[in-house]
Amino acid sequence: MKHSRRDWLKLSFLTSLAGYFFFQFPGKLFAKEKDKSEVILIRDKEVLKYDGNPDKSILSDMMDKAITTLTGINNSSDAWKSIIKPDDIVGIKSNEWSHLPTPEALEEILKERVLNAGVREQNISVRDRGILKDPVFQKSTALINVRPMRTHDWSGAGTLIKNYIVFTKKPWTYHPDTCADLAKLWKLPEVAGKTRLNILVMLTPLFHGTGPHHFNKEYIWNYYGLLVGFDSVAVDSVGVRILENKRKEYFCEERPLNPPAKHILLADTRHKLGNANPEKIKLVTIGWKEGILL
Amino acid sequence: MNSKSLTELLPAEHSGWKTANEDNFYDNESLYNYIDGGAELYLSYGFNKVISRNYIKPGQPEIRVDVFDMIKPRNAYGVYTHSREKIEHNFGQGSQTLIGAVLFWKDMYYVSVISQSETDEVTKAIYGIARIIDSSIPGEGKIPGVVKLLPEDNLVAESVTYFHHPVWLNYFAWLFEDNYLNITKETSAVWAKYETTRKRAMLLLVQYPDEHTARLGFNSFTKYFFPNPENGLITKDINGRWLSSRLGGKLFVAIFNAPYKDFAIALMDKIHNS
Repeated sequence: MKHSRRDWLKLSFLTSLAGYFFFQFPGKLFAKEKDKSEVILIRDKEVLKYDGNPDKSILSDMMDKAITTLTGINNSSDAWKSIIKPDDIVGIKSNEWSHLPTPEALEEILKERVLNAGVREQNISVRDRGILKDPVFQKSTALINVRPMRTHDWSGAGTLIKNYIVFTKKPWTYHPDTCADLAKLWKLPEVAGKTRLNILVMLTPLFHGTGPHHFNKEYIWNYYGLLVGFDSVAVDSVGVRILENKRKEYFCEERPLNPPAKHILLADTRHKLGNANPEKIKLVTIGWKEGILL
Repeated sequence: MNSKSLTELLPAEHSGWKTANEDNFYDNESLYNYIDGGAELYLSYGFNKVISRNYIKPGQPEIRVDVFDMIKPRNAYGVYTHSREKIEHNFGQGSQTLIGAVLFWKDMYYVSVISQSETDEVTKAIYGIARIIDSSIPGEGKIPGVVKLLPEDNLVAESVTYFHHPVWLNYFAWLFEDNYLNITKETSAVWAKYETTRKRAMLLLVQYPDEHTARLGFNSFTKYFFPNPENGLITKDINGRWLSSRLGGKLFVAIFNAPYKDFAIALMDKIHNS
């Protein structure tokens, strides 16, 4: 294939951009540069209040412990500053699924941490749908990806990889073969190379769905956890293992997700987005261990 | 069925619960806007339209009713069997009750009556509304014939899952990387589990429209699962469980995860002798 001068110029521009980001942020951000992807699982049995909503101060503490462990920087503020710069324009990609949304308290905590890293308020947006029309997301230089873990009728699981589906105007083009190639979303120009942190909310995950709205309280449980990492594929991989183990415990037999969440494995083997293989994941567990399901 | 007829299946009010707002209708194009992420399941079975109505009562959580016109009874039955965890016959031709929810199928309809919170009053209202809808649907639909071919001994009844879309070949486990069995809308397929002394065995039946299509599906399957068919169509998988397959006329049978060779053969024989 012959390359035009325009192609070479474009390539050169992209290469310089990649170089810019590479030198600005810790090598850990680039999961495939290391042999293993680190995933932090933090749990606190006190995090859920009597009404089922999270206690913001405990959640905040969990988030701080997770980010300091992940970055290896003792102080939470400095840890955040190692991944977010004051001149960043930050989109916090949340999830508003009505039955199990990203907790508002966690959205607030993340925004506070980004503000504390020196980013101006007008350069931060927390949103799910409508991000393609959101001026902050349109200009974003950094993304924080946060959503609850749940089973899903078509993709097997609602994952961090899948959380970027709203970055495309044509989500249905990602549906074939039960969303096998969702990792392609991460190569869209609006997304590629921007994700600084992935947080899979495991406070009350949904391990099974039934009916048109795929939700019933019978199939959620209090897990009291957060999974945090730079590699979304690795974080999703751990999350799905927990779901599968919960299903096995609840149904008293092997009950793999149906359909299988193949997009996680293929994000690794086909799209090279990150590590799905448990042998390539360094899992660090902090806090409450009972019922950890790993 | 048109929108008006769907409307007539639902009560205008029930025990003080009144319609909250105008009914919403969704079709093949717009279902994504309503049940984002869940639409594909209904589309995979075949679906015409759904009516969605909310009922409210002061001091009580909202009740949401969805009635899906699935075009044919087999589609409604298929969706009902999907993710079914227990066998109940309290509503329609088969139902499932959960916390704050009644799900059932009848004729070509799949019905869901749910509430986010459950109080005694909500539960009564959910059951009452479900009962009215059940009575409003006059006919009954036939359960697909392939389901009736399942041997009953040791059958885990709630595991029976009917389908005619290739995606659901991977319903119990990720076994198929492609549509090796050429599942189309013209085929009728069913998965079922059987109790054994160890882990449950899985049975797959596929009924093809003609013997030629069945042979093509069978050949494609054996090429992938039995690379050395001269050794017979029964073999151990990497977990030490038995996998077996057979074709009889238009009917394809495969057994996965059988604990013993004899178990697989006996189950296979029961189908062909039935």
